[in-house]
Amino acid sequence: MDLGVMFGPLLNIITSPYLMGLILLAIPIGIFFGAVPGLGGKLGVVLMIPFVFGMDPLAGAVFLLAMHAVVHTGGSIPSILFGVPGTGPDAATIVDGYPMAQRGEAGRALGASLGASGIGGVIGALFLAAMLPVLRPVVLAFSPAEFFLLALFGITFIAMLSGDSLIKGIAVGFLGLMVSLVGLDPHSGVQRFTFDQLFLWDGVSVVAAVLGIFAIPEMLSLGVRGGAIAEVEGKPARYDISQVIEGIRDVFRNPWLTVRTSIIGAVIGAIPGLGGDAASWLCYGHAVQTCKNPENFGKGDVRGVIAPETANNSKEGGSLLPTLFFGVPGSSGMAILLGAFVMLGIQPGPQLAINGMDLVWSLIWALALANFLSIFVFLAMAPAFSMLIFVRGALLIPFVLVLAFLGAFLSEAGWENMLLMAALGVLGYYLKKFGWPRPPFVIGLVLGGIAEDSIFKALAIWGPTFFLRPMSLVLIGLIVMTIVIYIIRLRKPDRKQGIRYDV
Amino acid sequence: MMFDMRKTVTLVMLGIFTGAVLIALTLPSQAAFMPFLVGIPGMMLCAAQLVIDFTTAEDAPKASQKDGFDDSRTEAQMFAWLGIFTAFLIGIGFQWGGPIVVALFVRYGSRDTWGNACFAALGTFAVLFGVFVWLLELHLFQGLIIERLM
Repeated sequence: MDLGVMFGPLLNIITSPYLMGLILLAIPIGIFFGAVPGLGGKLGVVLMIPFVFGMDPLAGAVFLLAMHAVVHTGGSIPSILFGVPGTGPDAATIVDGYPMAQRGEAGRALGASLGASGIGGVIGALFLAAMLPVLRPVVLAFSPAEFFLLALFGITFIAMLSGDSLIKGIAVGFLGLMVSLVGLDPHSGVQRFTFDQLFLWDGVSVVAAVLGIFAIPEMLSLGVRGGAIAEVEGKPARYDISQVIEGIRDVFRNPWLTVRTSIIGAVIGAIPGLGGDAASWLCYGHAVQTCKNPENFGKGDVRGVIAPETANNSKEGGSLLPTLFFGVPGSSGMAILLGAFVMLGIQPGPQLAINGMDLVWSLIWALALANFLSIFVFLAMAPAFSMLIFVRGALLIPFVLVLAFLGAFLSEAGWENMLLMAALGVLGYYLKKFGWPRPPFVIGLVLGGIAEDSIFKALAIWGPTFFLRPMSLVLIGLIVMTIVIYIIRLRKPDRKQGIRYDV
Repeated sequence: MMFDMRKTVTLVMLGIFTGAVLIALTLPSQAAFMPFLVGIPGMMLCAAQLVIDFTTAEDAPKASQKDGFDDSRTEAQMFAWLGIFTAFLIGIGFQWGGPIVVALFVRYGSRDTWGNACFAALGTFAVLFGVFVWLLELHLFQGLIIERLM
């Protein structure tokens, strides 16, 4: 491949104060949208579209992509500090990041998240670059049958992590699937579980549901418990840069985990429709299964922060593959970005591979640069975030509750979602209290639509024997293997208390 | 106690799946397919969990106490506050309801001073108005009562 085509756009960006300025402006904006629960990258892109009207297509696309690329870097902040996911995929970071914060290691967790996000994002961009020649066969290898089984695999995989009870984990995952079925049935058009409520016709808002299941129970627990989020007494509310640096070093102490989860995240991101939450959870599970001392996961193990955070950022590179070359968004965030690209005059599709490689490489480098530079921007802003952990719950609870309600409202601009969120919050509180793991709910909710669509397509194409396809059998084997591994681990006496990840 | 909260939660889960399957019986076959596919295994899992709950010793409350669930504030109080937040924000919206309910929580929920309550309320108003309305130009919900009055 012509090196000029590859590196010319990089030179163009780093020598242009305008483009570099846009990237540097986009980073804190993206971190902000990620850090405020309920806002997220999709809303961020939507709100920023008016600002890029009239911009050069390259500049506008670079700005929006850079902003979208670092949303999950910001999303890890409330996940670690408050146990509240900034965005859906950041929920996996809570599992170990929040216990670390409670132990007084918020800075280290933030540093690990920061380093992992930056490196993951860069690897994701490089993955995108490396995959350009072999893109088509990889994406087309997955049929509807595999999409359905991949959804089931995702739920089983996450439920497996619930060391206390696989039954509870899968049941909560199925509850998420059930909630995803609310709305107009896509095949017959009849109302399903809507109870004649108009706001439910388009389904349950994922944002409202996630905020209800995660944010509200955390605030209720904090209120019942009282005190600050961190279970640390007498520590000054000061920012300790050495903790953050230590966290960044942790990423380099686990180089293979970082590289593996980055690649897994990018591959999952490249599969349309699965590029969101699945990447971070699957990479978290991968870390639990492959790392030494898995019993430490869920109790504040820094590897439990590194794995999902690398995946969160690397998947954006993967998601760009189908988005740019097939016009098929790799994730819901990419769908919004796709619309913004079209609005800027960029027409994604196979023709980009013929006459738009300059733009494609510019976007790849913008992605890599945004992730790399986000480390420094984040470092400059982190002191304020770390200090938030010592804020008394009494002051924090009402503000986070208002923000959660705001997020639920903004997700669909419907006040009914606020009621729904409150109701799910009560359910989530009791699920949390009695050991029903909540993350499988989110996976079920997110993958439910894909699962239903896929199984209908698979049945229409292959009939009831769809699961006998070779790749389907591989996925079924993976599901069975996941359950068997769980049972084997549970039977080992030293790991019975094992992997507790409930958040 | 025969039915503690642990078993009640399992029963609620079982009830949700059972209800969904019963409702699905009234739907056309295509629309009912996925609810059956998900609901029936869900019922079976929850029934199995219920059996486990009845056959194993209660240990959840101990864990809860360890986590500090029953310390200074009762769950009932927090649920009441959740209800108050919901009512205020749906009733009079974010711009007015938000600061008021934040101030009420800080003053009465956490028994803080009026000064801190006002400071928290002003901060909430500044963020809601300054960031979301002024900077991001978002339309915040005005509240059902205020919308009706206007």
